[in-house]
Amino acid sequence: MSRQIVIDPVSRIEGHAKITVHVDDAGDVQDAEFHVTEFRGFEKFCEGRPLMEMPSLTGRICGICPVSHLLASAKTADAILSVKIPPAAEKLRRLMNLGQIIQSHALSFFYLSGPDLILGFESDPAKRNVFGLADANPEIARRGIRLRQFGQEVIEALGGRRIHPAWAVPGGVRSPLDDSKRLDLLGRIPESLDTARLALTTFKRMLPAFEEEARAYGDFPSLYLGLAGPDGEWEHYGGAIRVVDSTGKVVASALDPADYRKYIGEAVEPHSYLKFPYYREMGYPDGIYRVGPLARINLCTKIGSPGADEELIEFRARFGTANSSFLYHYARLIEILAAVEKVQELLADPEIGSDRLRASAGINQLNGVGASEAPRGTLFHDYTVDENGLITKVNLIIATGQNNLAMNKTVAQIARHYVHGADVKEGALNRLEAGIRAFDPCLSCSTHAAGTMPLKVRIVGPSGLLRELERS
Amino acid sequence: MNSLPGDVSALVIGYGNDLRGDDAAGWRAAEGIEALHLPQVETILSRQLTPDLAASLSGAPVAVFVDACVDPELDGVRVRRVHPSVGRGDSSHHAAPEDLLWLAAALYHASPRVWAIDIPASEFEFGAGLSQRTSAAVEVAIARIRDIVTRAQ
Repeated sequence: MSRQIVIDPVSRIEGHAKITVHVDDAGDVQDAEFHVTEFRGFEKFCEGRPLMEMPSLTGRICGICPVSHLLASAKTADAILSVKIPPAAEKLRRLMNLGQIIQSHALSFFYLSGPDLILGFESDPAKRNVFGLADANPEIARRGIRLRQFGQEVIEALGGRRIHPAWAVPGGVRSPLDDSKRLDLLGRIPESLDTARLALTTFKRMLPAFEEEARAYGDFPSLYLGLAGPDGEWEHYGGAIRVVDSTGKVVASALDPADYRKYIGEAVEPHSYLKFPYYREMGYPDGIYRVGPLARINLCTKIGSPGADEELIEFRARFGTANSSFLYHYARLIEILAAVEKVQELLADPEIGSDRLRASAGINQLNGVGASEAPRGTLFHDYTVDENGLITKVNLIIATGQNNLAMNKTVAQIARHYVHGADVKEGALNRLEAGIRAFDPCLSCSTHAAGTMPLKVRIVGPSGLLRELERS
Repeated sequence: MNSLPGDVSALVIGYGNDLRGDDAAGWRAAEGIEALHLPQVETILSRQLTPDLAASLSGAPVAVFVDACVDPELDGVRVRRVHPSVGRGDSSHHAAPEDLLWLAAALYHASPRVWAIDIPASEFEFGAGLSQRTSAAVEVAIARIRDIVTRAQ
């Protein structure tokens, strides 16, 4: 007879999910699953809407990372219009994406995972949260809040609001960056750089104490996928798709995001509303890949900003190609530093003040794909329109969804390491959650396919299975 | 902006989801206050209450949180004082005004006087529109918020 341990809901993540661990009579873990229990349906209910509405519509997929969808959607619309947007517009879009990366990564590290890392995985659960962190280390909490605010202020300075800014539009952006706001933001750079460096120093100091976690939290070989520049440099907005393996060897590079269907397949499983993307050439599930900070750090040749490049060199010297999902935290902090440095560079660029911000065109293609790097990983929007520019089909491949296989594998690995016998301690359950938190998933973003998943409904009574219904 | 101007006398934070029917009540009320252009009154519209709002809260002597409320016994707009208390912090979605007030004290040694305005709400379907009852209650809420913030000046 087997026993299930269920964590529902998983705490301190964006969205809703549960974990089921299957144990046998001896208490040994047989398997574990990460279930996404949300269903959103954007891919379906966007059908019939005008293309021009899509950035605003898809931006509402998520209240934490709306900018990611806004930009990927705008890029998709650019493709359908067949326009190259003005250089200043691209720089401003990049600036907004960097603000997004800063605020999202800061939230992940300081609010969501920070309590585990700084207070301890086994610490009192009543205090193992942002409030406990504020109590134990108010300076870190204050600095984290200010850093997140900075990222949000970059977004608000461009889009007029922190959440769902209706600013990136097909062909460019709606408005320039006001010069007084530009100077305000430049004034915040030194403090933000300092906080980014403090976070890295703090984490590196703590890292030796997490050797066991680094081994047990999703340490397995996989591919890593993300955008990169022509020479493999770190990218967050443009570039092409690059794939490396667990040794850092380049598997593929300069792949056009518009051809994603040729190299990314999507599987479905009955236990989750999240699709399971995989690298086609290696099949499912061997084609498991990871996206997001760890992938971007692993696959890039360099970052292109001085402080972050120094950190990258140190990271590589220490880990080579890092395969432990625990090191997402470290990669995330390197990216915060990179993003702040690149914001500084853009704010000082004279072209950022241009008012040439939008290219105009009609519908010139009936299909377009836009990709950008959300904080959590590569995001693809794929739209098909009719001659009038009304959406007929949408496919979204969400960053978090691409980590689905890896999250499941991570949960299983953690369960096998920390769950033994009948007595499951609270710390072990927290570690299962923490394994998911390392990926910083956004489950609100990830759940949209309507009417395409096989569903099995099992009605189980006290005496066992009563009825089983299946839709294939 | 999260960083408030130095001479703010009151902060109004409206929160909720403006695409889920009555859940937009907090936003509509805060927008109503914004439209009055009251001197030294700042408004923030937010999907959810996140810890960084504690920093904004610390910059104002008076603050008002306004949100939709599902409570079958709520017969009209409810105004209540908010006192600091420590939250569970399980989710960045579920911080309460009490949590933020606690954080404002813990991190910034700030103790603003804070009220929460609960607007009765019952319809949360996808869509951008309030039910008649909630729409009427928003107007009442705006008047109550105006009373609070003008007394603060």
